[in-house]
Amino acid sequence: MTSSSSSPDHTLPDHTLVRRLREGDVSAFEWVYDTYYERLWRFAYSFVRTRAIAQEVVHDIFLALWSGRKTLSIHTTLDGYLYGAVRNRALKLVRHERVVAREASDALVQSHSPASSAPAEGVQETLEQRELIAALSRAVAELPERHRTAIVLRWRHGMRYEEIATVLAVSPQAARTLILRVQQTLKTVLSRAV
Amino acid sequence: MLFFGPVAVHEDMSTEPRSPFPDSSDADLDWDLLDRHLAGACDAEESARAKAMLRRHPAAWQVVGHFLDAVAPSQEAPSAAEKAALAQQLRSEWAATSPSATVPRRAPRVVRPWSRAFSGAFPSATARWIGAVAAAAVIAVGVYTVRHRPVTAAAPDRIYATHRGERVTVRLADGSSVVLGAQSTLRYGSSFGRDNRNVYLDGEAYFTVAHHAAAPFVVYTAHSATQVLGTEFFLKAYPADSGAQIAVTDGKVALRARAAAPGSGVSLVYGDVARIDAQGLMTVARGVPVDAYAEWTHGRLPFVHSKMSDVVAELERWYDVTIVVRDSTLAHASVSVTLDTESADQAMDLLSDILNASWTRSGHIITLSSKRRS
Repeated sequence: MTSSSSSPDHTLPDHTLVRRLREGDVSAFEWVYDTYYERLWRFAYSFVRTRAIAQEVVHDIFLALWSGRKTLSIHTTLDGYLYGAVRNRALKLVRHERVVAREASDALVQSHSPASSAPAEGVQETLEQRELIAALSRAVAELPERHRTAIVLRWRHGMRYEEIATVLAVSPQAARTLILRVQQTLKTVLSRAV
Repeated sequence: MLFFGPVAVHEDMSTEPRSPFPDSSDADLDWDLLDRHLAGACDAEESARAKAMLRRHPAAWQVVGHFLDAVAPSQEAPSAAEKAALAQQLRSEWAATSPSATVPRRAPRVVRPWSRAFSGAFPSATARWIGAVAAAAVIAVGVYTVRHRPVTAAAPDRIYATHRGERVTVRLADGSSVVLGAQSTLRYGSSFGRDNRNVYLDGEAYFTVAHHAAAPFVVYTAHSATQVLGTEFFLKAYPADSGAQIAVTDGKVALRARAAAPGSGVSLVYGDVARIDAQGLMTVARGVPVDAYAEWTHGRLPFVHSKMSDVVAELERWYDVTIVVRDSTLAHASVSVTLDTESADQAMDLLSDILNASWTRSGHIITLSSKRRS
């Protein structure tokens, strides 16, 4: 969408934007699309792991935003609202959440299997390094969805704890705890490797 | 792309500015700093410190990198073509229903002759029911004052609950009757008919309320309260609906948000269909052919410009099946049809015909997909 990357709308407080969305102001929708499309797509992809389905999730979110505009009420931020909607939609499409974790874990192992990755320059892949990958892969597979989502929002989407909290509908303190748990998991993996 | 190499320190190879706070090389990894660095929350000084720290802890940096690529692959991004294609799709949607657009409204996607009760009944033709309704609707706020009796906690409640695929008629002590839909719960206190006429509904039901001028009949759902003198109406409020929908087929009721004061609310009469959401926002459509809702009590499933997702949810409850809609065009179709079918298979045949789709069944799971265009 071409409308408004130069427009001052970037600085609009959410409630002004929300009012314009509610009134069916197409330029407001264009702006939201332009601003959020790629971010939401990437976020959706982290759940569904299929390009076409990620696209479908984003499509559904923008369609719902449009068709529900008249009664749109956003109690948090637009970020929180949209990311939250993507998560809900994606989780509905992915009926078995464990499958996602499994796929993430498998992808990790595959990208490090001897066949698919050339050994780093003159360096033999050591037993410890393979064990590290295996440990990391297990950790990824066992990570609950909320933890995984929280860390993706934090480290990939650069969200503050308050924003993560609105996406996951938990308190900021709980969001912080989720992040700390993931760090703890990574620390454990790392300590085994050293 | 990160890889696992030998754990070595590359400090000298870096052109990064040196940290002003050089930690000893055996210092622990500062996870808090790492966290803020990855979240882009560091200022310049912290950022430099974070980078210096990561150079001293390459193994940690690699573990984090592998981990992040596993949970959210950074190499997978949408193409410009994908972005443009979706924008195109959405723009046509916006143009078709925008109040300011000059583009004429589109024809309904799906309205077929055998939606005999309502074919052609709706002037507006957006894909979604609520959009269609809101465009033509008059939103009225009236005050309907009836004496209110507080809900009294008392002896054990009577509870009627139906399973999927089940429907029962409940006759109440005051002469009213309730046809309770699938997967629904009707609850009322033992004082019903004596001190009050309050009932609580999760799910959907068709109410025929006996007239008692002195005793209002009140139906509570999670988000709404409907106050009645004597009338017939259909009320639907499944927990998943996050709101309630009511269609009045006779007489007059007053609908309000559950939290609203008794006596406030919107008067609804024959032909009105109202929706109220969890926030108490109400949309009212006047002049809807509501007789279809009365047909519901005779085992028919009426849909008037219903969202496909609502149709699917209803069929799943009614026939105890799981329906998977395979593509988003189908999932967003709007459907007007009265299903008078005896089995899920018959219903799917009819729906597929309307939607130009095909379906397959495997046990309790039915998959509906678009027919390929040839």
